Amino acid sequence: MSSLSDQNLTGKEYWRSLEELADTPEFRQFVQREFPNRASEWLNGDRRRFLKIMGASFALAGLAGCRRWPAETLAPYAHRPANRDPGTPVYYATGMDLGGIGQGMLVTSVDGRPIKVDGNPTHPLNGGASDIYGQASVLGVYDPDRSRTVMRKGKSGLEPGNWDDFSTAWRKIGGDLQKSQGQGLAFLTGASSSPSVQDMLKRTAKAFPSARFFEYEPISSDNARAGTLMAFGEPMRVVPQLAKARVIVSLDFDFVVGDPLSVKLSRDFSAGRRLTDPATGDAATDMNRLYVIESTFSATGSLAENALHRIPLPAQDVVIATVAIAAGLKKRGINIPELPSLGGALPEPMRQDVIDAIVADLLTHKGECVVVAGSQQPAAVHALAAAMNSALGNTGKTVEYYKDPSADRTAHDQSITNLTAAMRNKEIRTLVMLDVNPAYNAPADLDFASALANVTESIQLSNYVDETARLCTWHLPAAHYLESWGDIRTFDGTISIVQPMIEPIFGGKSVIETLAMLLPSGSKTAVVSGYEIVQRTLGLKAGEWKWKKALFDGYIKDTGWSALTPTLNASISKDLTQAIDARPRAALGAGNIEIVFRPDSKIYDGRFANNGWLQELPDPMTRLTWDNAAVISPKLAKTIGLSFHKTQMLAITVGGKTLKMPAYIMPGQPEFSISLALGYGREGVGSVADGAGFNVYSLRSVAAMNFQTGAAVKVTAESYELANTQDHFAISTLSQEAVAARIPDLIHQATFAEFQKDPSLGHKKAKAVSLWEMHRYDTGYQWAMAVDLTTCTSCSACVVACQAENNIPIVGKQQVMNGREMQWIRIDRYFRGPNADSPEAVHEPILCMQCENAPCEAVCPVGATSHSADGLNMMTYNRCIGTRYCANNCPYKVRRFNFFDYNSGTLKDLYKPNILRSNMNDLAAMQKNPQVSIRMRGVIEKCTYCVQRIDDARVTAERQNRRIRDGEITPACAQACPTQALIFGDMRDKASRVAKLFKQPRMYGILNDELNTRPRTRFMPKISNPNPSLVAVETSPLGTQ
Amino acid sequence: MTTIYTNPSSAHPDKAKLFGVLAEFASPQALVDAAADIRKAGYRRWDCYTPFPIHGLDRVMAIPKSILPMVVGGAAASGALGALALAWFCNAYDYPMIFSGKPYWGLPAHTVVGFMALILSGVVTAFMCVWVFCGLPRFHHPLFEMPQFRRVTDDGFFLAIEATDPCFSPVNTAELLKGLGAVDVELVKD
Amino acid sequence: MTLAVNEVSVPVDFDNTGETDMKPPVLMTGEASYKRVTSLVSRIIEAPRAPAIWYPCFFLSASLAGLLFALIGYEVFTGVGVWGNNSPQGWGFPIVNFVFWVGIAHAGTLISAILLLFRQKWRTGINRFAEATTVFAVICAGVFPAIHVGRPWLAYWLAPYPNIMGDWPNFYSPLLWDAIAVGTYTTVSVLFWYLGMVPDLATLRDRATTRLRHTVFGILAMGWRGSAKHWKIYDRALLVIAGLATCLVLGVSSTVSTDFAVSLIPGWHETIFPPLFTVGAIFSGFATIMFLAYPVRAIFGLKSLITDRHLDNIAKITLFFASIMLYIYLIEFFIAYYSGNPYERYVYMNWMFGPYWWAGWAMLFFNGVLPQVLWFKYARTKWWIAAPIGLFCLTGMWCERFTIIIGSMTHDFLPSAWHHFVPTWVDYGMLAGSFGLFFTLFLLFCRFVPVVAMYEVKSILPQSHVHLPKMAGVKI
Repeated sequence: MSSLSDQNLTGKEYWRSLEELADTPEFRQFVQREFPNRASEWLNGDRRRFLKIMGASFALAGLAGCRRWPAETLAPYAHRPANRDPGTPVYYATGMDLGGIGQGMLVTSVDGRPIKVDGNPTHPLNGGASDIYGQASVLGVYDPDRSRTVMRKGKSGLEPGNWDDFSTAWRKIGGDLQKSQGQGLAFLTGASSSPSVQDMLKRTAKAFPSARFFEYEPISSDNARAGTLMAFGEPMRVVPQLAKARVIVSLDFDFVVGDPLSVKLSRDFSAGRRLTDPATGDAATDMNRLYVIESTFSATGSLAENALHRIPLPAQDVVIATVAIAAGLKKRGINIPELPSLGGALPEPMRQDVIDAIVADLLTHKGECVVVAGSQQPAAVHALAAAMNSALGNTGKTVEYYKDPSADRTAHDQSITNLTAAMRNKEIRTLVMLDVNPAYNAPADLDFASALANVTESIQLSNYVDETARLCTWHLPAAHYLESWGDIRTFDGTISIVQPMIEPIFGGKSVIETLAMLLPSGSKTAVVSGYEIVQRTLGLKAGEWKWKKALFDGYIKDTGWSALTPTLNASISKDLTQAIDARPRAALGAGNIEIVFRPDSKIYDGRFANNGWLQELPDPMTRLTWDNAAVISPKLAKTIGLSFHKTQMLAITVGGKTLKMPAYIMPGQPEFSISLALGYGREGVGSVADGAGFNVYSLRSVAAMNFQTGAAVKVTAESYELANTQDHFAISTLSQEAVAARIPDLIHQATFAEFQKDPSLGHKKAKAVSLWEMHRYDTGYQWAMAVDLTTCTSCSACVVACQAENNIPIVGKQQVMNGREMQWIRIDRYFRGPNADSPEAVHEPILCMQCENAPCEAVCPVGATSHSADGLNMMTYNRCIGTRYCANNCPYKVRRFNFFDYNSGTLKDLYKPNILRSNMNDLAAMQKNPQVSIRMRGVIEKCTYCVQRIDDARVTAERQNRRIRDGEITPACAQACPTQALIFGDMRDKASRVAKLFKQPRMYGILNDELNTRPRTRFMPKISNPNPSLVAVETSPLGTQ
Repeated sequence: MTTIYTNPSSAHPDKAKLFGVLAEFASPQALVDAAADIRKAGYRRWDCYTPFPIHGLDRVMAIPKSILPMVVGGAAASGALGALALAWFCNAYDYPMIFSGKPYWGLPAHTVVGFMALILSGVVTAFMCVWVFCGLPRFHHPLFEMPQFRRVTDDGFFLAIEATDPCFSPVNTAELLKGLGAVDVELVKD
Repeated sequence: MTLAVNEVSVPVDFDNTGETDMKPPVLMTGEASYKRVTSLVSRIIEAPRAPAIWYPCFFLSASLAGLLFALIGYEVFTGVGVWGNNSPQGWGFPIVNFVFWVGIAHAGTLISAILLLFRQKWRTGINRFAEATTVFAVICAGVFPAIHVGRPWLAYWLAPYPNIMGDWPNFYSPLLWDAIAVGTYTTVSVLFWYLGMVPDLATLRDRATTRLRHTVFGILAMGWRGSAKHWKIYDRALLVIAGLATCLVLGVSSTVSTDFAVSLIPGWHETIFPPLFTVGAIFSGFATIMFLAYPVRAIFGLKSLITDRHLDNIAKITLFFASIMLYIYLIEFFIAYYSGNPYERYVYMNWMFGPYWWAGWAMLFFNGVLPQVLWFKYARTKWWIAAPIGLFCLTGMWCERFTIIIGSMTHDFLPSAWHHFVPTWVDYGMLAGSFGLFFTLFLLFCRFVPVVAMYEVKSILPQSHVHLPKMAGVKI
């Protein structure tokens, strides 16, 4: 297609094999660029090392049957240790940190290879669920683009070295610094919840008294800190407890996707929306209600009860809405601090009656409502939210405050500003950057890169040879969290130990290990290994019971803090007034457009940019893959004359900087607000990241980290190809109407009131008449799945989990544009509502329906797909000859076809004959789930309800001579789902959850009434709980665009 | 001349070395008329050779009806039954699999295969029958030695009486054929 | 030269093929002698060189055929992805082309078989090369299903043979029926074609001037010597085969249509498809003949054997089937509307007004409307009207396959799964290549095989009619 899309596949290849690498021109040039002289040894060395690791990993997994002890003693073993069956998965508890909040993970490891990461069922944050970041993190370990060696600046850019080179060099640098008390030494770290990291930093500070420490996160919760500081006098961590809340008001807070707390918040939120308790089958008597005021149509926004419960506002006006609500409460006698009256009319499309309704709702739910604010909203909004919450008596009930572990630190934006300033005035001669990439994600106006030139010794520890690495004098390869010892604290401070699953594949070091290296090696007792550091920090001894238990549980009991009960500051009113008055007042318009910077729903701040699963994952709302786009409202699009039929490039100019980006027209986007996802447009990082999307950081400035007004957009002549998994094309009005007519059939919707009146929601049991006697599935197990559209948040964790569990390949942007994406689950998104400016959005996960009368089966000429006695629609890969008739005849289009050999070669040479392409390389192979066969080209594949897990359970059960218990089998998707929207089980077992749910009259099978396919995957209608005074006029569905 | 017919003993001595006698006629009509007389004359082992099937000639020569249609019918029927049996064996007996919750044996779905098998076996049989019944391929035939016989596929209409015919006599038969208006009569060596 | 029967010599261009109440039509212009028939046809094969135009045509088609096989190689070694196929559009061009060619493959057998059954004498002029088109079209058709599968090297798994996996093909699958039907059809049409050719091959054998020719044609002619006894068996066999083949003609297209009719996709799940496909097939077959007859008779000087009367009849039949097509289209649209099924309605709307509207309208116009011109004898008999119409009908038929397969499949039940289909250069290359293959074979046929069934033409010349003699005492 267009050169633009080709460019997405340039750069280093994906899943390349080392030997192939050696003789591709890309690689030679890559070698020229990065290690001119020693490429060949580097390769061989790496290969030898690789084999060593494989052996080693076996050894590791072998030790002690379940848990590996000192990572230092490694040797391939010839004799199989006791309690160890090769090929059987072993589960380890560990933890992962994101933006300073840790969550406990449970890693599946086979023969010493971590192959799957899930939530730790016992962990307070996720309780076994997980988000896309956790799920995809396992792919990160095996990323062939990861930095493989220590590098130092040479005449021609970075040259490969090794850790010894560095430590020798550091002995000198460090020595001098010690003499000067660390004069001119500075450290830049990312937000980390790790006690060990904090401890090591303290020790470093002691060793270099006058060293300076900076912390920077591009996506930061500092506004919440500032807000609590304003409200309570000290910075705190805000943790909403949505499970207890019956009314939730979100102020531009997309809490179900892309927040470190998302898993917890989604879990809690759904708890208040589950209308049938799967365990008992009892109907809920109550349902929570969500109001969303947001600057971007987010997944959270799609959960709002209806179009009136979601107010699309420019980010700058959210504060006005907040004040309006607060004022309303105050008028109704709630003790809210004095506020400046905003005067004038409310900004469109905010309506006074809606605000009043919200206020009324809050009042009637004192103590069981909550107002939450998004991290990109200014401190004032957070402070006001806090004030309202305490005034409504929610504090300690629906919202908790915890102490901020690093309360004294300067805000991230401030911190990075100070650092660059210091660098500019040459105050810093040695800069150590630990797991940060400021050259890419620091605010553009600071121009970190040029400032870095003033630093004599710049040392960076990083996973990739990234934008910053290329400017440094030293680059150190970082270890993945699955490769290193460490520790994390979750939101309430509970500590988990991070234990490695595999020896660092590329010999990376963790942050603490690096810090240990930097410490003056005076004392003989200097502790260098992460293993020891963690023990020291936590005061635990390896081998002792407490330590074992900690590793086993995945967290240490009673290490959490107790929630605080803060009281409002006296000065809050003054501060608020100041802050609110300081807000940008210029009225927005086509000439004064607002830009909102948000973390990407898939690659966060860009740290996951080289993760193929996440890059190819469709965004919940835009359904875009492999790109970010300027999300713009239909109205504004019309105003500036944007085409609705093809994707055009927009020139966005703000603060003197201009960025060209493709436009994506999104219904429900605030008229004059354009939202941009951060994290794309990486350069020279990896084959996946490079060329995907556009670098929005280049528009970001310290003054406006979250949103900025005064932008101007211009439609350029260039057009662009976005890889969209839904509405790949402009839909004619004809189709538009057809879609609109269908949605009610495909997605049943109702209100809570209607549900209470008639739990069947008017569903009649359709009587199926058949010409022949249909097969009776009345013996053994009968597997089925219930999908709850009410609790599904479209977070997409299921999609990635499925991809990880079932060895589903990624296909690249070009193939996604061709409509050949492979994910077995897709989450359909439809819009609904009278006007495109403020519609509702509904989501529907579509996986194989396992129809009892599966249309796909009868048409296969070779019988490669048939039905199992326990009701599974089975796919026999090795019998499939690839006629694709089954896929054609599947009314749900859930069957995927291997148009190419996606598992071999690279995404770039798909169109080359197979004999010219390399086999799947070792790294790729390491992640694959040995229980699921890798599909070759030319065969169909599809969801199997994770049949491998079913069979495992069956074997176990039969060994113990019992039936499989309910809940014993959980498909990957259901396991990952934070909201238990997917429930799997045996529908014949009356006691099972799925059977109880299937009894509910409202359950429906998509297209079952039309086609009598008798799907085993049944859906619970999407039920919303609108405020009686805000029941939207009956809406005609908008369709898909 | 009549004696010729009644006195076979006066047959030509080296009759054995002969295939027979070949007579050419000017037009289909002439051939048909001659054929009629030859048949009246009681000859048994003789045949006509024409560039195209002459309508009615077979009746004049009293060529018996061919059993070909019966054979074909039988083959077609058994072909169909065979196919249905195969379908039953494969999907209902030997390796039954559940497809779309349908019964293992479904005649409506299997008729197509049965029908096709019927046609195929019928046609193939008919094709084979032609060669078997005609005793073809036979690349060498005494008649091919006769230069004029080359025109049998162009515009020549021939009648050949074989020497093995009880009534055959090289001289008389030839005379007879001449008498019947043959434009040319020649003996054919075996 | 003089006429065999009546001693009046006739000018060569004298058209005596018209119906008269006096005697049956001659169906041959000019001197209607056996010799002339023989030489008219045989000289094409015996001539040392083909007509000049033959060479460039052959070169062009041969190179296109080469392209086809090159692309097949590329596809087999690379993957189905080289085509435009995607999800939901799993089939795309290969199956469109397959159905298209299978359709064309229907004229020959129909003309030979059905017209033979109905004793339509005029078929003799055209049946040979009509059957040839059948054989070649069915070859082109057969190429596609074989290679369209994801793992072509395993396509033989469709055959029910005992295998290591211990399982069998699924006799419920229309694709299996399809494979068997097309296989049967190929075999039958080849046998029928060859059997009908044997006497003419014998003619060539007997006219052979070189040893090589004599041997080759001798073997092919199976030693045919025109024996009356043989003729009797031969006639019977042809008649029986014709009977079976007629059923087959109706059966094959219907079976092909079940690939769609048996599925449940709106726009595929149509009970009217079997008749529609059969009629469409016959229609496209005759269109092909109408398109090919003119150049063939012009290039190889067969004007007096393939007379205007033949072409007139072909045109009439084409018109007849075109009208049925038009009727079926209208019925289809009406039923879609009348069913009240939203999915059904939408698909038909989408056919005509969706992204592939051009194909929809081409289908309706070229197949249903344009052929109505053939109501006029003038149009039926003028090469510059009839031949182009034949070509347009073919275009229309291809568009019909395209509309049905792609127009329906890209917009089925779940809107979220909708996706456009964009053919790749490989798709176009293979389409062109299949035409190359067809014409390569056809040109070879014209050069080396009797284009007209000589013995059949002779058998219907007036002088071939004999009056059976009265035979006293002998029952005839």
